Amino acid sequence: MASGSGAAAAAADAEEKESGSRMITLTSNEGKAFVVTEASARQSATIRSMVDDGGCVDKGFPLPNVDSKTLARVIQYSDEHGNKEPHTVDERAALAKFDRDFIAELDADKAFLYDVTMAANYLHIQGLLALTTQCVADTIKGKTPEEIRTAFGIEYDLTAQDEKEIKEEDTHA
Amino acid sequence: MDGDDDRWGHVHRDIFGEILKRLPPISGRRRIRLICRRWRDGVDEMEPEMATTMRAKPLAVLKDSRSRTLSAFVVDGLPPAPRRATTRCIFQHVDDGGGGGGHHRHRYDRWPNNVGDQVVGTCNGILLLAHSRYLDLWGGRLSLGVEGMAWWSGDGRCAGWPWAGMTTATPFGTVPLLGGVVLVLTPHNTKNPLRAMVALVDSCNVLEALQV
Repeated sequence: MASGSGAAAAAADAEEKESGSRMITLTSNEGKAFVVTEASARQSATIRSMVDDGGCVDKGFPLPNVDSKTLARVIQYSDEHGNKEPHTVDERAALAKFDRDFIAELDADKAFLYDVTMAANYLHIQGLLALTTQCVADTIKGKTPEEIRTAFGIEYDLTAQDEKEIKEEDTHA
Repeated sequence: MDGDDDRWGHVHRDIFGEILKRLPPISGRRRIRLICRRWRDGVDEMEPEMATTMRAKPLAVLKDSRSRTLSAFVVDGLPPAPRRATTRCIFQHVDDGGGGGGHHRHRYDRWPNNVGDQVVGTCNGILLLAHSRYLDLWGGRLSLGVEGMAWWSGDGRCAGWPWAGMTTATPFGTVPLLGGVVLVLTPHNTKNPLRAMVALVDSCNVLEALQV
């Protein structure tokens, strides 16, 4: 590229912006920086609106509610969904397979699934939030309350009286 | 997962709501209430707002026999608030006059303006349609035979019309196709007509009014 010319630089800038190749830095609560494409970052409605409102792109975005491990996983999702646009049937199938594998891994670690769900909610990544909460709902379906507690590591704190009341309310509902 | 890690027991309200939305309305939530106190309280707190959003959604199919267009809407509607139109147009069939039966345009707009009418809400099993064009109530044949079937929106806009093959002599009532839903057509500029006035109007052509 010809150097020196301001106009050329501005044009390159504009082109870069248009093609979505601008890079954005996301910083976890442990101070670890992750550099992602703008297209990937835009999967998050929270970041998208901050980018569109102008400013702070160069300084990057600190995410005080997200730790490094969770952020890395969230970025894995938004890279896949943001950097590629599936056009063919095969590409769409590949993306669906990515989602299945992605959620299967999280499903095996419910505590981490919770962290990723919280991050998706905080960052407003609708697709990811739908994926994780659907996974939770699917786990709940067809299970007894006891099995659900075990699956999610939930402490049982209802008294016998509470349980009796709940069951009575349900019969009247 | 650690035994003392109770993240899901203390699940964030937003996320709890997202999960509830994805469970069967009755059987799923009943079991949820038996999990722990927080989840029970969460269901109790959200149940009222869930009940309104989880209802089965009416599907309205509109046909204008003169221009032979057909459109279908899903009404995501709650009772209408000013300026709220929660409908989604599923498709609009347009006869292109080529004799080939026309074609279907699939549309998923939230604001199906160019279809001609908008379903702006439902209330008590009645569907409210707003039409963007002027409809002269006095110039048509509109008759309402049954007391109490007309429906007024919050800002007082109202007019009524029996749908699909019902003649003007047929009492304004339920439409079998739509399963107890009555279509009500309101022009945007009709201001608070009296019920008696609506019932007396007797010369309006609804097909014309619906034509895009």
